[in-house]
Amino acid sequence: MRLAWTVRRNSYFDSIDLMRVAEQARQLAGVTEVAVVMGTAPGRSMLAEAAMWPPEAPEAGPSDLLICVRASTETVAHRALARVEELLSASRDGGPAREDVVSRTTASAARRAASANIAVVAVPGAYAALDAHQALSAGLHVFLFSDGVSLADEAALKRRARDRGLLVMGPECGTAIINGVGLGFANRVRRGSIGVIGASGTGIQEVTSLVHRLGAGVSHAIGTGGRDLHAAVGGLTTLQAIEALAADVATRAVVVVSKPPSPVVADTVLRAAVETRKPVVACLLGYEGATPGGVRAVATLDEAASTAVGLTGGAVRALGRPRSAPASGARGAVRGLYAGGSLCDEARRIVGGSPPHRFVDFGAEEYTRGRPHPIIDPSRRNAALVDAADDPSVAVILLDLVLGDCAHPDPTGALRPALTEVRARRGSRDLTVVAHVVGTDQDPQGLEKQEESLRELGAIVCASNRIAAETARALAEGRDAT
Amino acid sequence: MPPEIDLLRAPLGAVVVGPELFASALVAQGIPVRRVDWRPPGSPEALASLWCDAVDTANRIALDRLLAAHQILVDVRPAIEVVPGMTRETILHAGPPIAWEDMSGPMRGGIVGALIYEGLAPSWQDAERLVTRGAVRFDPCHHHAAVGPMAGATTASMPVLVVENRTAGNRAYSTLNEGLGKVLRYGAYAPDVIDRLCWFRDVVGPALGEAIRRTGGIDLRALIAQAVQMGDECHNRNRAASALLIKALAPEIAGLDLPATERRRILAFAASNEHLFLNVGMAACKAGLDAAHKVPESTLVTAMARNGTEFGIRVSGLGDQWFTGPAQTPQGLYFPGFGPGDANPDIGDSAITETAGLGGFAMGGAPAVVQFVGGTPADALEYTRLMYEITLGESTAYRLPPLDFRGTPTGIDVRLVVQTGILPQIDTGMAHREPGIGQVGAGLVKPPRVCFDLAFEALVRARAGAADVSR
Repeated sequence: MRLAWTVRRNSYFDSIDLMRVAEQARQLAGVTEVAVVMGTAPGRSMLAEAAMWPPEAPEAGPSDLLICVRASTETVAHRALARVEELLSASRDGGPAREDVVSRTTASAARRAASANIAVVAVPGAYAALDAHQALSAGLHVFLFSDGVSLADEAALKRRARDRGLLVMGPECGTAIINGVGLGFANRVRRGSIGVIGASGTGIQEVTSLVHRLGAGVSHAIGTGGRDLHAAVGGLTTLQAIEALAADVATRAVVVVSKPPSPVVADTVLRAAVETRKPVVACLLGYEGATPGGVRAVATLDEAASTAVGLTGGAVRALGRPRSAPASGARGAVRGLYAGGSLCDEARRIVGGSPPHRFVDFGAEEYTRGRPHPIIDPSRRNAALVDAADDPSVAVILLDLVLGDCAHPDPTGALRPALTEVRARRGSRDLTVVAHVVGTDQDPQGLEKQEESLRELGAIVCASNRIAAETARALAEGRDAT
Repeated sequence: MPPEIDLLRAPLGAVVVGPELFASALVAQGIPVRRVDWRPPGSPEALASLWCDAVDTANRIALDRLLAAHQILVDVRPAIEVVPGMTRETILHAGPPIAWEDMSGPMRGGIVGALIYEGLAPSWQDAERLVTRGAVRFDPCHHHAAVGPMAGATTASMPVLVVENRTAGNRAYSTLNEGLGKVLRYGAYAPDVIDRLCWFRDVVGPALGEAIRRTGGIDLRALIAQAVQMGDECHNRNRAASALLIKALAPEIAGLDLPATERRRILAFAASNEHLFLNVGMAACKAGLDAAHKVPESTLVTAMARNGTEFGIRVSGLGDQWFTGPAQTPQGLYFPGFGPGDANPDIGDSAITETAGLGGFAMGGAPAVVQFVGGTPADALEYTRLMYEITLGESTAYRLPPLDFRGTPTGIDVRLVVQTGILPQIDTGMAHREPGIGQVGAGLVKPPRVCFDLAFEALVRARAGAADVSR
């Protein structure tokens, strides 16, 4: 038989509470007796009578808590002591079953949620820095969806986060996938070995869902916010994300996706990526600088996905061209009406953004101020769709539909009235609708179902945004889409 | 080298501030989520400037000092012997500094009573003359490591409780509680009031001092912790704590070298006074909060006190400054024969209990108190739960049975008060607005918001200054 003891100085507990804890700790195998008492005179004499407080045990006063265990072996005894400590410090909160005052601040919520390690901040921009700073104070990483945060606040948040080993994803971060969990607008994708870092939400969505469609999977996708590679921010989050993916054993290749970056920052970031000694694919839309050796530079999001799949040993299947569609014969303008900023940007580069072609990003700040993002609420774009049909110079309407968590529950259904209206005004020989659905078969909306409904509405559905843009361009030039 | 990023290694748990959509998407993926009931605060930029590493560190230090305080009642001594800066001409009073002209009825009554008791003036008129001649020095108790309930009048020969914070080594002081009814702290100064004070000075003070010394000191941290589990919040309800105190002292009082009648009289007085412990608890709170005071940049409130005219707060990072606003009139129940028109605005240093995580902050464990405002035990819990929204931490000693022994909300944070607009909930007694009448009831009261707004502005200025220096 072994005796083990410990003293918790200066901590008062009610005796009933202590009896309950002792009883629970007594249940451990090999434990014969557990005493947990305050070091008052009666408490100590009780222990003495039970021969559980030998002379060599430390002195104790009435406000000290004495914990004493008799067990078969020393190991078991110490395990029982640890169990008592654990029971004493177990969360004293009543848990969700009890009604509770709701937390009024991020600071309070962070304190109450013991298991939290990240804060999702999506409040109006003027308030977002306060909540993000409170999250950092509580030691939480931040997923900062809000836009309208000043560049100075962004830089300050990210510097503070870096010094504390925390990540600030954002501001204006639409998407992340951490450990298989989607934050914000994210698609359900297979877990795998490709790590994605992106300054663009829909850019990440496109790359991760194409990786899934190509049969591979994603380790993590880390959003950085659209301005992370701005000179004033210096790629702080991107650099941290590279470091984190470098240390992550599941990640075997790294894809960096960005909107037009600062050349200096792009260079720094790419050099850091090469140092991970993992294959690196860079899709920096609009970046024309040199890329350091070891980086596979690609021009489009679907190339980024397929290159990464190839680098991690996946069989690279070509994404299918759309089922043949007759050239409309009507040359004319492409009108790109987009919900995703990077998708819009990519398509504009492929089609050519100058007149007669025209591209509108309905996710841009000017359209989202005071109203939901078009991924949630397509009404604004629907109106523009009908307007486009009224413009006789428009021969092709190019669209994106975004599936996934937080997106509209049925984007095609939401589009139906507008597309029907378009068809009522313009015949299919006269005006073609080309669309790409960002999503996977695991998304709640179901990729196949959404694509099928789109085809039923007379749209040409393409497997990637790049293919959709190329198809639109060919049609507008009077060439066969395939 | 910045620390490593652990995000990719641990399972996710999220706090969500923003649309329901983001929270439900996470819940659907099996992630634990705690939502924020967000409302747009005023001055978000100024608020954000105070959520930084410097303030976090300062608050952690200040809160740790408050939570770690281990208070022992070690003695009772004449104020002149132990209270720092005490002189024969000094009268300490409750609340922030105040001039005679601005004092309310009960405050003046308490001061006149104290002057009569000290033999410095035989009557109200004489006392007033003495005061207007400038012969009396007024100073807040708080400036002398002391606290006094209601008027808080404390003079040289009064016996004071000596409470030592064993963790930080500092001491705090408070007078002996006189019981309810016509008492000096409520501005009564009739001969029987003065006689009781003389008895305190000549008999009770020395006797208690000796008894306490013989016990080797009474552990107040443990005693309060026990009392809280017995239904006290140690401001408006001190029944359990007073009983525990008598229990600790009675054997030693019984053994004192005094006539049996005198020993009996002392014990009978103690036993009849439900608020015997109030002043002891207040000194214990003060001893903890003084240890947390003057941590540069800390936004922790270290004192809330009222002088019957103004409510004032002090903040750890803002040194000796007071931030004041007009004292409010409590809402509550009145003794027979009194009504709302009789109550004086909020008075006394006893809000030190709330400042330390007791009183209104511990009301959830003392539902009896909520009846002063016609509330239910559920309301009492609600008051306490709300206070977690404006505090930096939870007591490691005072635990509330109805909240599954969660520690009481402790350490008021100016930033959180200003952001949420939730004001500290204070339990309090009510004094008659005229001197000499005494207590008329008890109830609940809040500080005026302006105290916190002013302190907040000062903190923001201090932060901007510190940021400039480090730049």
